[in-house]
Parts: sequence; C-alpha cells; structure tokens
Amino acid sequence: MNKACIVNGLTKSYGALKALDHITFEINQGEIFGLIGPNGSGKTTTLRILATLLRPDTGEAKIFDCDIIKQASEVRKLISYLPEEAGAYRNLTGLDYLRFVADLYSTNSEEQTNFLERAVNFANLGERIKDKVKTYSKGMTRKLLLARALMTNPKLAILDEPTVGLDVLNSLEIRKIIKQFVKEGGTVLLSSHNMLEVEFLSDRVTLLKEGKVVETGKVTELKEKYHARNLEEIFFGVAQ
Amino acid sequence: MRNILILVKKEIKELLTTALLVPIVVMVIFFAFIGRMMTREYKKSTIPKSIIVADFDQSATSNDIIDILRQQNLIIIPSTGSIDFLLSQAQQSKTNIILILPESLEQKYKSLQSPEIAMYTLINSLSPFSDIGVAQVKSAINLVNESLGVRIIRQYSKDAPITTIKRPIIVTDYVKLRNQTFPANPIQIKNTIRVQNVFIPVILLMVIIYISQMIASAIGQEKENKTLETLLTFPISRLQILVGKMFGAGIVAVLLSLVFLLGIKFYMTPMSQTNVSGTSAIKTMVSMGPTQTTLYVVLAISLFLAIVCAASLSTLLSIFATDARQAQLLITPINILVIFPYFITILLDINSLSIILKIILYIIPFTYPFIMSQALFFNQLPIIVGGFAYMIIFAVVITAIASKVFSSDLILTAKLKIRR
Repeated sequence: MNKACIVNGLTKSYGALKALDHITFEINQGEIFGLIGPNGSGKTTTLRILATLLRPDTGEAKIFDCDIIKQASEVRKLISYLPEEAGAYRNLTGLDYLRFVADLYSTNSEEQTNFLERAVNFANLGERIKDKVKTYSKGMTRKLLLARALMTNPKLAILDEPTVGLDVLNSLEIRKIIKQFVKEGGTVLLSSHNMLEVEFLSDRVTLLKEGKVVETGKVTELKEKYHARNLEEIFFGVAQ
Repeated sequence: MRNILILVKKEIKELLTTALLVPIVVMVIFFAFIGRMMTREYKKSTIPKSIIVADFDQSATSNDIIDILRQQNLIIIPSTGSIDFLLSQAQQSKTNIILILPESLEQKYKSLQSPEIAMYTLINSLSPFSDIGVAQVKSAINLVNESLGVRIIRQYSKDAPITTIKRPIIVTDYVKLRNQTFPANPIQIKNTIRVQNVFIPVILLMVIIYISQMIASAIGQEKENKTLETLLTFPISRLQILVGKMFGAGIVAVLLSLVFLLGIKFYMTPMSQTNVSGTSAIKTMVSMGPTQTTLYVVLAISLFLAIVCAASLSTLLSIFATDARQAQLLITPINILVIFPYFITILLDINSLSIILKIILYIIPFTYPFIMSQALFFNQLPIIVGGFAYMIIFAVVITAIASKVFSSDLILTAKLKIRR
C-alpha cells in the first residue's frame, strides 16, 4: 500500500522540555489516521512538524516521498493544515477569505472557480458566507476553516482537534465532511484528545503519552488486544 | 463609597500596565536627553562669536566701530584682501560673518554721506541656533549707529537730517550660498528655505511611524487571530509573506500620510505664501537651489528607502510579539529612532554636534531622509550617496534577518513557550 506519510524517530525539545521522543508511525494513503493522547502529549508538535511549521531536532518525516525539511515547499503543495486554534481574517467575508486561499493555490481561473465551489459546498453556510467572518459563531468559523483546508483537494489533510469546542450538531457535520473528503480519495491525519471521536472517525490510531508512541494499530485490533470496549479504556490500559 | 474605591483600585491596576509605562518612561528619558542637547547647543551659541573685519579705512571712526563690536562680546579677526580671499579665509576658519569697513568711511561719515558697510554671511546651516551670530552682529551694528548718531549731534552737525542721525552708517547684506554670493538678508533667506522644507520632515515622520504601526498590527493580529499558523503552511515562501506584508502596510501608510499632508498643506499655505513673498534676492536663491525635480527624486528615493527600513525593522521586532498590543509595544524603539533625528535635525545643526552624537545619528537610518533636502541644498553629495547606500544595506540586512527568523521555529515558539 502506498504511504501518505512516514515518520521516523522524530524528536523535538523546547528548552528543557522534551515534547517528542523518537516517535515513529506510518499513514496509508486513503485512510483516516488518528493521533490521540492527553494534553501536552506532543500531538500538536507532531502535526506542526509535518505541516513544515517546526523543525525536528532529530529524525525524519516524508509526505508522499517528499522530505519535510529538504522539500518543505513541495510538501506545502501536498498538504493542508487546520490548526487547533485557527482563525480567519475577521474583516473579510467568508467568501472573500475562501477566494483569497483559492487565488494562492490555483493556477488558472477555472481551477480557482472549482476550489471556490467546493469550499462553499463544504462550508454549507448559505447566505452567511457573504457576511464578515467576525460575525460568525465558533461553529461557523470552524466549518469555514475546514472547507478552506479541504477545498484545494490536498493529498494529505492535517487536522488538529477539528471539532474542539463545538456542539454536537456542528461536530457531526464536521465529521461528515471529513468522511466525505476521504471517500473522494483524500488522506487525513487528525489529532484529538476526544478518543471516542477518533474511534468513530479513524481507521488506525497512534497513542501518544509524554512525547512517546505507546501504541499504534487498527482500533478493532487494539480493542481485542487490550480487551477494551473503546479507545478510552485502551488508553487507560496502556497508560497503566 | 467602599465599592467605588474597590472599583477605582481595580481600574488603576488594569490601566497601569508595563505596556503603558515602558513607552512613557522611554519618552521621558528621550525628552530629558533632547533637553540636555538643546541646553548644550544654546550655551555653545552664546559663547563669543568670531567675525572677520577687514578695515580698509584704518581711521579713528573705523577703530571706534571695531571697539564697539568687541564690547558686544564679538571676537574680531582682523584681515584684509579681496572679497574672494576673505570668503575663503572665513570658510577655512569656520567664521560665518565678514564685515568690510570701506576706504573713506570716516570721510563720508563726517560729511554725513552715510557710508556703506558690507556684511557677508556664509550660510551652511539652517539650524535656528545659527541665526544667533547674525542677530548678535546686527544688534552690535545698531549700537554702533546709536553711538555714531550721538556723535554727529555733539561734534559735527546739529542740523543733520534725522535719517542720517538714526543711521549714520548703512549695512548692506550679502549672502554666500552654494558657492555663489549675492545681496540678500541671511535670516530671510534661511526662513525661505525652512518654509519650503517644512512639509518634508512632517510627512517623513508620519509615514515612518505609520508603517511601523501597520506592520506591527498586521503581524500582531495574525498571531492574535490565529491566522499566521495557517498562512505559513500555504505554498508560498516566507520571504513572499514578509514582502507582501511590508508592501501592503507601506501602501496604506503612504496613503494615510498623503491625506494628512493634504490637511497640513491647507493649513500651512497662507503662512508659506506670506513668507515667500519674492524679493529678487529670494528669487535668485530659489533659482540656485536644486531643481524641483531633483529635490522630489532625491526625497522620493530617501522616503522609499526609509519605508523599507522601517518595514523591515518593525517586521523583525513584531515577530516576537504574541498579539497586536504587544507588537505595538515592541516597536516603541522605532518611534524613538524616528523622533530623535527629527527633533535634532529641526532644532540643531548636525555639523556642530559632538562626534559621538553625529555617529549615533548617522547609524540611525531614519536620519538621512531628514537631512537629504539640506544636503542637496548645500551640495553635500557624500551624505546623499552614502545615505542611500547605508539605507539599502540596512534594509537588506534587517529583511534577511527577519526572513531568517520568520522561517525558523521562533515565529511560533514564543507562543509555544507561553502556552506550555
């Protein structure tokens, strides 16, 4: 199976704090891969390194065979990143924001129109898409940002806590969009401390604890291995 | 009452933040420094001035005139020779004023013919303090006239015309500017040049401060609104992001400054029209100065380079901010770097400053736009070319550093450190 992402021995420290300690995992093309762990376990740092925002101290990572350090600009063309606390430009309308991103990614007007239509469909904000972002609720902003992340049809979408702080209905809608994106051939790497959500969405998961990988595998296999009913119980077992 | 006190206490705690206090303290130190500089310059300007006096009459009257000048705290450098020689001697000895007492001065004075004394002023500074020497000589000459007028009544003719008694000698002013000498009042000439250049420092000050604030806001808001992290993962280089921000902010800053300039121009037009009422001397002076095109080209280049310098510096500083408010605080040093040369160049003559202060001023890239028009007027080519070269190097080096920092983890780790 083709690999969308190969992570090998990544280490990252912030001063005395070791955020990542030789983490290794692989993501298959066309799957939803979940990165789970409690706050401060290194999820965001891992995603930021893969999104070319941070440089690892040691180790290497490749996305569709492109090295994240040596070929950072190539990697940026393949990925799309949704940070946990992302925002959009408050004085632009939702549509203007999407157009701004479409302009940056497209090479011609036809492609730009396609990106824009796709984003408007994903966001599903109706007429509110023409309102300024500063008037949006948290859920609306998150949907706009997810639409932005998926509009350019990236080969790998990196989503950090995609449903954080959202109510049940908005969370369901966002999960639906992610599933649809994968159905259309995309690959997703997502992180969450909400293990039930990851269990629902992901094909395979990696459990992180204090910057180390403690387990990787299919959710069903892990459940059997740890005789657990859900990921939370697995994580509890592993952490012990 | 107790509740109000509790609320007031809370308000003071909220308002008196480091972000508020640091710029105020810095400004107080800055103004104290400027005040000290001004006092020093004033003291310098009040020490006895040297003037060259060429006495071609060598009479008792000419000696009396020289004595009165001496009594007025002027140091007399006696000389003789052609006017060209005297001018070059003045240039070498850094003396700005030459008085020529002509042959037959005494004879004309005694026969009530009001002899003419020529006063040559070399203009090589527009500082207000440089006017003090001229004013001192003029006031001494008034005393000379007073004394000689009294003597006319007492010794020569009680029936002399009142105009001759009031002004027994006439002073004709000449000015040497940009290697040309022509009859003109030096103070009037300086005022004309000052009025012509009045807008330049104001627009420079506004543009540079505006652009720093725009960039700081732009980067600070990107961080505060959590848009920067996403922007950095788009398929565009970090340098492109920086250049985009710098130019975007630059255009807005220039537009805002132009609007303000227009307002100031409407306000200042009546005053400038009054001052530039054209005597032939002033017309001569204006025609001698740099052409309008040269002036605008040099100023446009220096303004553009100053904008790039301000943009690169504020970008570099704003990178370390976590939000827009902190970014505004971080660019306070830029405001000081702009206001400092602004005040110094408006109030003092840069050439008369101490070597350390001169070095400090020349290190600040924002000094050059303020001194460009004066340098152009006095044909100081090394300052113009050197200034351009220095500003280009400064902007390139700072942009390169900013780009390097922007491409590194630092852009995010400042925030990370706080979060973790």
